[in-house]
Amino acid sequence: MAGWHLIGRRLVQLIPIVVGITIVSFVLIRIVPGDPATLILGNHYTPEGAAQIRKSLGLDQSVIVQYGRFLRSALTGSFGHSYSLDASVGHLISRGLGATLFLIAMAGFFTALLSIPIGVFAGLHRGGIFDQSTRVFLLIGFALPGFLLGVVLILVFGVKVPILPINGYGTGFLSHVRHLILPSITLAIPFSTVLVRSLRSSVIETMSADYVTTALLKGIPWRRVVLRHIVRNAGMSVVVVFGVNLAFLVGGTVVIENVFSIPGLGSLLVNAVSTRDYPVVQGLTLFFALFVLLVNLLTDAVHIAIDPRLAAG
Amino acid sequence: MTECDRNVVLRADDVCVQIPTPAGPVTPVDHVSLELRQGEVLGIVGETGSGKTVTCRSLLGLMPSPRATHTGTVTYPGVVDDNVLAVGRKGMRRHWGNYIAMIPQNPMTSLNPVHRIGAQIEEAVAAHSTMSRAERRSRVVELMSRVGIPVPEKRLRDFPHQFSGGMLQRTLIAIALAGNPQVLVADEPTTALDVIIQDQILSLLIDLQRDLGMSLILVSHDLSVIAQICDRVGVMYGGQLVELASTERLLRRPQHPYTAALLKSLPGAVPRNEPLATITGAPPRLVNLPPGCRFVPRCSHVEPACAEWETELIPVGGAARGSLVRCRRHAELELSTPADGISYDATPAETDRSGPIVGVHAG
Ligand SMILES: Nc1ncnc2c1ncn2[C@@H]1O[C@H](COP(=O)(O)OP(=O)(O)OP(=O)(O)O)[C@@H](O)[C@H]1O
Ligand code: SF4
Ligand SMILES: [Mg+2]
Repeated sequence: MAGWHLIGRRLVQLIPIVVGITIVSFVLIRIVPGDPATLILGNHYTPEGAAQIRKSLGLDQSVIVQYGRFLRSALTGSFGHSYSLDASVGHLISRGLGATLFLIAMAGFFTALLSIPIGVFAGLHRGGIFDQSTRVFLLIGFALPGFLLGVVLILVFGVKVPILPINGYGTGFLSHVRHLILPSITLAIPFSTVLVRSLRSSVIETMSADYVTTALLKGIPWRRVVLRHIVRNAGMSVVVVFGVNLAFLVGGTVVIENVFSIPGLGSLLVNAVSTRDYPVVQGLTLFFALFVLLVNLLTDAVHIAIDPRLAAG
Repeated sequence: MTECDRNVVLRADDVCVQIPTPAGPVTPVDHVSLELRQGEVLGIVGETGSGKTVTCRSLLGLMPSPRATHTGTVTYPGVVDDNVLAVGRKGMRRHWGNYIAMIPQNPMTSLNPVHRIGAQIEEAVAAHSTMSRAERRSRVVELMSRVGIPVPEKRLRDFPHQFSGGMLQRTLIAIALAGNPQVLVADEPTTALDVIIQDQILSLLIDLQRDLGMSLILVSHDLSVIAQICDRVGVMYGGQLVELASTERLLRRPQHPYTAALLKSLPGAVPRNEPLATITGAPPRLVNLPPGCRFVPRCSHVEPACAEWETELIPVGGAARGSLVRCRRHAELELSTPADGISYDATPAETDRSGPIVGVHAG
């Protein structure tokens, strides 16, 4: 089917982008002042010791050779060995991945829970009291930086009324859920503002479509018109917005994981940058890039699956 | 029983619809009154933007925008005696599809692109019945073959984008018929279609109207189509009905200068070697309308008093008794008619309608 063919083409187009991202991150981390060998030695620094460490890490070789080695390790899935932690980068990623995915999934869930009813209701009753008050929510959610919102939530639900954990990840499924409620809501609120906006305008646009009049004049219940003809169709364009922003959420997790001390990939990245742990930084950037790409492809696939016009091409 | 005694199935009384816009209020329906009788075909003719669609939708209780306001009443005597314009979505639900249905102007955008043809017809079948799933399916197939969709068992699995414009319009007719309505409002059902398909769809509609004994409002901007099919005709200009008469009287003795001008612009109205008449000037924009007759800027019989005249539909006496006209000079005017140029017997296929539509564009 032509729609799926399109996905294949997208995939091919995205390969150079991913390679580009690895090059940029590879170069950037080396431009940042600070030398891994110096940081590893700390108080025991001697020029000789540093030179020896650099040699053993392969940092004395040319950048091209280093990049080649990085690519080779990426293909094997190990991404090389961390400088500061005694583990392969692949292992570190698989250890932090669970928490990050859990966080993203919960943030996505709260976003849908929050924005679908609000966006649909505001759109259906455009200009009404609810729609007007939604604007205030949108403004606050949009203007507030994510970490600030996180701090506010910590103060309210962790300190003033201590009902929820404010740091860590816990052990066991239910504990994970409890630990991730505040951080995922912190991520979900700004994300929701984007989605409410697009869902609301999409609903308003769809409501005036001719096929909605056709459906209404069949004499079917209004609820059915709303679900099968307005929300169903308005949702198609919003799925794309959701997917694109879910990918952006990966960036958000880096900050939020540090605010809430969650041992995920975001915390791993921040630590790796501060210790100039080159293999970890490189491996994670590549991994994040692939993740964003995967989410985008999934979004395309969902879009094709729910719009029969695309599937047929 | 005489014609006038026949049951009225729909009555519009002094209906006005106004939409607030940044440029000022738009009035697409301005004091429209009409009656639709049991089993008749009422034509409504008017150029683009004269308010035909907004009028049709108001007959079903729909407003063009949530901010639109309305005055006047629409009733379905004996069925809905309250004002249809005020009943609301909830109250109208059991009449839509069941008592009154509409066939839209643009079939290409009037079916939901994400649902299968069969499911969309089935939704209309299920709206007013308690049939089982299997019964509904066979009713869908029956409706599809009734409106002339070939191999319905197969095509009901298609999506709208796999259908041609004509097939989509047939689907929409099937949807309209699903609840056996008594009143059908067809808003320019063929304007968006190819010429050859237009005739097929019109014949289908007339066929169905006769078979099922429905009352039909048929909107068109093509007077020659109306002339062949309709029992009575309403002429719209600038949101108003300017003349309402039986087809024969309208064609033989038009009372309004606009109707007379329309007739003269019909192909066949003048000998072949003469150019068709056109009406100079543009139709009014319906924003911030001044009082007085809407046709003042284009009327060849205009007098200064016309611009002050508070318009009303006036019953006509004499030879054209039974007509209603919105012209203060109609009694004194001897409007000329094209000499027997138009056939108005109801056999669509006989008359050549491939000529241009009524030439009433800005000249
Ligand atoms: N929602 C709306 N907002 C503002 N103006 C509107 C709206 N709906 C209709 N109008 C105006 O009302 C007038 C009548 O429109 P309508 O669609 O009824 O015309 P029509 O006779 O059906 O024309 P056509 O032959 O093109 O279908 C037009 O001038 C249009 O611009
Ligand atoms: S009222 Fe006057 S301007 Fe209007 S149609 Fe009659 S003659 Fe013409
Ligand atoms: Mg129209």
